[in-house]
Amino acid sequence: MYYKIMGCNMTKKLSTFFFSLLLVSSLASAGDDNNISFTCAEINSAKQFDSSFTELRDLAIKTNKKLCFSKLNPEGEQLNLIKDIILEYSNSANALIRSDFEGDKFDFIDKQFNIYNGDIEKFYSRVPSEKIMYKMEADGALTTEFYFTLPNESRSEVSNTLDSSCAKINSDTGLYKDCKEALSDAACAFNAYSYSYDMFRYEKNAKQLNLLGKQWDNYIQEARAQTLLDVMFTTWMHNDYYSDSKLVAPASTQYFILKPQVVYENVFDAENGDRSKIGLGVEWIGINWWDLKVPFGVSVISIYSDYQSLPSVGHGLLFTFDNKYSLGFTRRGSETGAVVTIDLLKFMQNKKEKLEQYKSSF
Amino acid sequence: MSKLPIVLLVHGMGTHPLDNMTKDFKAGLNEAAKGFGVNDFNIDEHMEIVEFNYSESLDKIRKKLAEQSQDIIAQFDMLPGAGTAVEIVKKLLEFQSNLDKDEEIYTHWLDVLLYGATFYGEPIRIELAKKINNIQKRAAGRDIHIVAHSLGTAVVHDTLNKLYRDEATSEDDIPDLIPGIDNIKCLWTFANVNRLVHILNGIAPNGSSVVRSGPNGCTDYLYNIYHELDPFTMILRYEPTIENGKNFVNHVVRNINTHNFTEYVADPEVSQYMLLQMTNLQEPKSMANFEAYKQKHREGEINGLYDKMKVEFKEIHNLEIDSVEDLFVLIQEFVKKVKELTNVL
Repeated sequence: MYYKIMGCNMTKKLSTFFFSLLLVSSLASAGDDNNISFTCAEINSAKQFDSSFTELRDLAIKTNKKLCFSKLNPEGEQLNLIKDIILEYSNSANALIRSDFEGDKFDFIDKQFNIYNGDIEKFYSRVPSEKIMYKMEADGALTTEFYFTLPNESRSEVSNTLDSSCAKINSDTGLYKDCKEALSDAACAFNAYSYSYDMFRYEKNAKQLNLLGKQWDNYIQEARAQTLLDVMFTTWMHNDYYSDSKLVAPASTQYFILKPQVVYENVFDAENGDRSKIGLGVEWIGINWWDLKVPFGVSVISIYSDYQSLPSVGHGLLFTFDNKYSLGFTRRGSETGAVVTIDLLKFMQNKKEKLEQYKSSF
Repeated sequence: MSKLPIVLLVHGMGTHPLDNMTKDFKAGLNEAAKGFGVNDFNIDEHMEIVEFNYSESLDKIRKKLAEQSQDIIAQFDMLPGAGTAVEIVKKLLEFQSNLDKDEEIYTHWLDVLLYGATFYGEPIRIELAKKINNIQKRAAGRDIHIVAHSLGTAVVHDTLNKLYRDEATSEDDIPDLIPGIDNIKCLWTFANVNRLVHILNGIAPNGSSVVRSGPNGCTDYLYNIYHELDPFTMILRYEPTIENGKNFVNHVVRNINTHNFTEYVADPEVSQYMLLQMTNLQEPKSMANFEAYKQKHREGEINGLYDKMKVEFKEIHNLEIDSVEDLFVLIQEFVKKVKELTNVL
């Protein structure tokens, strides 16, 4: 059975991808729509959640399947269903854990489960259900703490004096060094309940991050060459975009400032022998839309060339196409000149050479 | 299946061959474990170490920028009778055309500029986000630790701050993780330069960061470590109020380079917490072992160096950092002082 989490559309084409152990999910890439779907299927193995609390782990795996399938309900009742499934799981898990961690000294476990249940009860339908897949934790450096990762987290300190009691927990193994190790093992089994939710999000993230990575690779390969100053200027112009609280693709515009380059200029009405010059061009300021179907940019340019009969500095506009080739015009006094960059000149020369080669072959 | 914690290392500024930071990390923790009385310590039996290396990306960017400038400079040779104007432009481009050289000014200090002040920081953060997401995917109950040093602390901070989002939902196309649900176990930041780099990139202004410990942050524990005489931590020092975790201050000078990562890790108090959080070793819990290692660690102290450095670095401590230029002055001043002190020793 296939579905898209959080009620999105079914995908057009599905291919099956098996998560190795607990949950078998199929991820489907549906053309360009970036949807991911997955399948809840039978469990191949439970080794992924290696824990000696096997009964608790089996309960978690069963709950994981229930949660996964609960998303199939299209009528909107699945949110209450999710709450019910988690509360039922919580109560059964609490009882199972307390059957191993016996006595008043482990009452802190019940206390933490009560806090956990209280938080699940508060869950309301507008919150994405993945946000209540809280984890059980038992850790700490010098002192062990036991808690659930709830928004208003309250932790129970597990006294070191209990460590000898914990060594005998779960008598099948009896290998725990201390309570931290025993409770961590129980937590590992407990946390298996949210595996399908977690996997779905991580797979979706992976796909989105790969897409962003490709967009950046494309930018670095394809966008118009920039000097360090241009790069810093572009970053400054897009500062709000790049400092936003999410990862982003490259901005669609590049900016240029004080960009020097060598250009070829032809002033049509200049005197014979003084019409064509190679000169130093400076783009004072410019913009380039690098990812259009036909990338296009425009800059204000000044060109310095040593003309005999014209002013040595001309001003004009430079248009850039395909992130590489630029041509434009300048005004020198009352005369107009055409400008191309050396890149475009080389490109035209290559075409001309190819044409000559082609002609000579006949 | 392995239940060993996964430890992700993120290096500082400069060119770092792959596994370089792993070696430094292992050296620090090996010394500490031995100091705590664990003689047969094999770090690979206790954790899986992975590295995120972004120095290669920065090298590529430097190379690309250099090549672009070299191309323009080569074109200038076509200009007949190149005059003063052309010479000036060529001089301006020379800095950029040298970016592919392995000199410290380019490999170290420019990293800060390229990461902090240009959009090239974003693809680096995306690569790190991919790594963190992939680790989450395969962790399945295993603890995740992130250990960052120097510029790496800013790379990690900015990535986590963009990846862990309060608004996270699987309904949109934004890659994100959920604070409180997808938390890593511990974030260890050594010589944290977040606040310096944030002058440049403006990420998480006014301390509005999800990079904090607890259910509303992205990590269960935050450990922040700095050396009293590490100049990079003297200005705009990062010393947050930590809900679960701790700020550590190192005062012992066994190496003139107080920014050294191995030295940071080998510190007795830091390594005690690291070993207890990352391994099941019992020895570091013992107060007697801790005192013994602390004593041994101090034996490596260079006589009188602490006092000399304190005097020499006083000026740095008083510098005000408001701009990129100020940052470079600080770095140059530090290098100068270290060289002077090295000559004295």
